[in-house]
Amino acid sequence: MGSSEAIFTIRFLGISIPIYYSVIAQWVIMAIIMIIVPVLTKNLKLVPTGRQVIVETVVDKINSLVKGNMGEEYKGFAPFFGTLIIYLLFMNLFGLTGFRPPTADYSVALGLAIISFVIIQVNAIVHSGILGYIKGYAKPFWFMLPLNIIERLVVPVSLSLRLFGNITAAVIMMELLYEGLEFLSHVLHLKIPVFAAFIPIPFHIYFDLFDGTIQMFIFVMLTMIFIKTTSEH
Amino acid sequence: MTTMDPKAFILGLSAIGAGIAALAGFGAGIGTGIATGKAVEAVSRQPEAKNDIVSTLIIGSAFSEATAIYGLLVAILLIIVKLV
Repeated sequence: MGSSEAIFTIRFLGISIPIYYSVIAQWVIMAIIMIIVPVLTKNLKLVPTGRQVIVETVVDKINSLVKGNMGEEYKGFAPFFGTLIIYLLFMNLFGLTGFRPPTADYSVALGLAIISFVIIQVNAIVHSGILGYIKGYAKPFWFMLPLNIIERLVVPVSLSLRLFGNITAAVIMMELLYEGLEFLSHVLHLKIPVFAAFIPIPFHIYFDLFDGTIQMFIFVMLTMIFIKTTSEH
Repeated sequence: MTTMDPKAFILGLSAIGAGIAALAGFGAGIGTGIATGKAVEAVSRQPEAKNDIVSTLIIGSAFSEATAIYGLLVAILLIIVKLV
């Protein structure tokens, strides 16, 4: 898989922190987002024109998605979900640039799922108080306790495995396709690999654009639903 | 019987195991198919509830697809992560 070695190591207060490829890819994505956002939100006007229309449509869509799925009282979550949507979308579509998407690294997917897990639990505690939260584990009957604990712990595992598995499958499929096309042009004694120029385009549309967007959507939707159902336990 | 390289034996068996693990796609395919069929029925019966139906369908498909992903994960672990 090629991305398991540390590229360089940062020494900080005697602790060495290895920096892997996926971390650097995420830095690049963060830099791209940080460049795009000020450009898009520079001198906003009351009557939107040009790029402001796009920005307002995106913000409006995210707001209505959060309100529609979680209800009016959860609209404070809209900025978090907006960030998650943009960040995940950039990470999943990073494969289109020819590099490996960072979400094909299980650590990245697990990190995102742990963020979701912490938010789900903290929101449940804030919503129903610490006693109500603990009581929530013994509902509807006390002997459901182990089942409820497993149910909550399985959430980050299934969220991260779904994201990681789908993106990794897409990466492997594209690698196999490129290898196969290269082999085909090698067998036919073609100097230039013509097949690799046009045939992968529909596969990229399916595996990178479609699958990446759907996985982003599913991750966000499931986080929303789990936040809502866990707090109303 | 000729002697066999134990490494080749393990590799062959792990390839067979990966193939069996990929059969998890059966269940996921059937599940997604049923869910999509029902969603189409629901949309044709109540076209105004299309948005709700589509989001429910996507969530349901994600759940049924998870089993296929676990199978795929086992297959990937068997083939790519060499255990020997």
